[in-house]
Amino acid sequence: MKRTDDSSRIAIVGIGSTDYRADYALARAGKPGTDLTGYAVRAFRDALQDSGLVRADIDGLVTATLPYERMGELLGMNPRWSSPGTDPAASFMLAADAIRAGRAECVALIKALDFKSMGTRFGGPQAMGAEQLLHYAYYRPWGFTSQGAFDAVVVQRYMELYGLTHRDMGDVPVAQRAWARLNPRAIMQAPMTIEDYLAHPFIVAPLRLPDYCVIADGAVALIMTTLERARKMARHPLVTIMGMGWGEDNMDVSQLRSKLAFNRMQVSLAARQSYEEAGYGPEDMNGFYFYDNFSGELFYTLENCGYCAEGEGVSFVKSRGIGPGGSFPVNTSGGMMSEAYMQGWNAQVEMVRQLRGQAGTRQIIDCRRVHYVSNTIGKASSIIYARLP
Amino acid sequence: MSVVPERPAPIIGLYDAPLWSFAANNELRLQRCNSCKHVRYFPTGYCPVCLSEDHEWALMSGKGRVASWCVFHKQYFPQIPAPYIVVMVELEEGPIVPANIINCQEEELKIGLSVHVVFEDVLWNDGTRGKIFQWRKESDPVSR
Repeated sequence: MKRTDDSSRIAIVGIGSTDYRADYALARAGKPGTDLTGYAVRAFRDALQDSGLVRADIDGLVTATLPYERMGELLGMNPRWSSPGTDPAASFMLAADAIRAGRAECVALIKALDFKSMGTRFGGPQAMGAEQLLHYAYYRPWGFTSQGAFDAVVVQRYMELYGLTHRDMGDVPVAQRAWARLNPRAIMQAPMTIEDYLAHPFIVAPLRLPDYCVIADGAVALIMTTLERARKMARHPLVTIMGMGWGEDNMDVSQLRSKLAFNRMQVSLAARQSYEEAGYGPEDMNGFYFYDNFSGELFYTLENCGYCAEGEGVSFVKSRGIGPGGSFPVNTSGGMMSEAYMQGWNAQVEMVRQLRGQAGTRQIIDCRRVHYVSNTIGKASSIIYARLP
Repeated sequence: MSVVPERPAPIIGLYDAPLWSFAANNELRLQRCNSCKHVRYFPTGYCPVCLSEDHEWALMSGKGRVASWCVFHKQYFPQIPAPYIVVMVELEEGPIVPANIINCQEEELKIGLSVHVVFEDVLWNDGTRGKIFQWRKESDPVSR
């Protein structure tokens, strides 16, 4: 249902992040600049400063992939309400509902990761996550391991059914690299042409190294409050969450069933709810952001969200252009493939920057509305942001 | 005596042991719910469709069709040299079962290709012996 009353709207009034590029270099050299909670504190400090609020104003706290029980202590805070968080949309929904229910007025959401410095493995004998997602380990007798492989089989199927070529798929990481080169904090900044992309050997065919997200250390923080309070702050152009949506298709996810069906059911469900709540559709968006843990996901995500018809993802991307200078900007910070793998959270900060007009040389002209879509293990989400006058 | 290839050992949780015991006897058996007849994989204690715990280990036809595949060029396990293929096969009975495909080049694969289960002797990396189920093309004349 469309939200028409300002009293239920939520604004983002503070954004912060760590320097992914600097921390990557340090972690790679075996000398990480800080640890998981240290990254979290840095991003939180950055977001506070950006918002103009002080710590005493923050009365709600959501912490994702952080030691929840310790964060209040480490941040020196006694919020009125707090919760562990998960992915961006689920965390946003939780925080927004807490604000609407009057449990908190200003909620800080903090996400941190230390995969790079911890040497986390995503495939092979020590693959992470098997305690929660058994299929991360279950198929090891056949060597079927890594999230990359689980996406490779989906892309392979899409290639045969819809005619996606290796060169078409390369357009995605190549465009995001071009965006990353306009972002001083992006980890991967070396120029990359489509020929450079195609010269990379396969990791798990049809995926090459540039099709994978960049494992990183870092943190992201956002501060949310009511639209009413945000209007009074007037520090930045006003950015609000216009609509959110969620969808799931969990049947046989360990067999990759919904992935092999291109996540159509859950992503379209999530997108539709967010369109209805926002009162916008695909034609209204100035920027598109997707959970780019792997590049091929873009094509069917666009189809599932109604930007184009089923099977037309490739021609849509080709005809519009998704990199700098294109008419359909996608993942303008470089995304998780070139900026940093922050599990969707870095995109949230970039969208707010774009809507505020603070994106520097990669600024989308007259950016008023942007759309974020994520699909992970059978779970899809959609968030629509807008700049309000 | 030919050398038996080594493989990473399967995960044996509460409900997995029968799968591998049947495989050792050249049978692909999966859990079929006695209440709603849903066939599930991998093994669990209850049916996700009707939540019943009552089930039997039903013999599968061993036939299925390729839904997709990928080719590992990176070696993830010391026991499995790259490159190697993993195919996603949708069984006649419903479940999607990934495994390797024997005696098949990537160029021969396509969606819908008919395959049949085969069993190969393996030495698991925990030192035990067993059999692993794999796919082969239905058209492959190799004897079972």
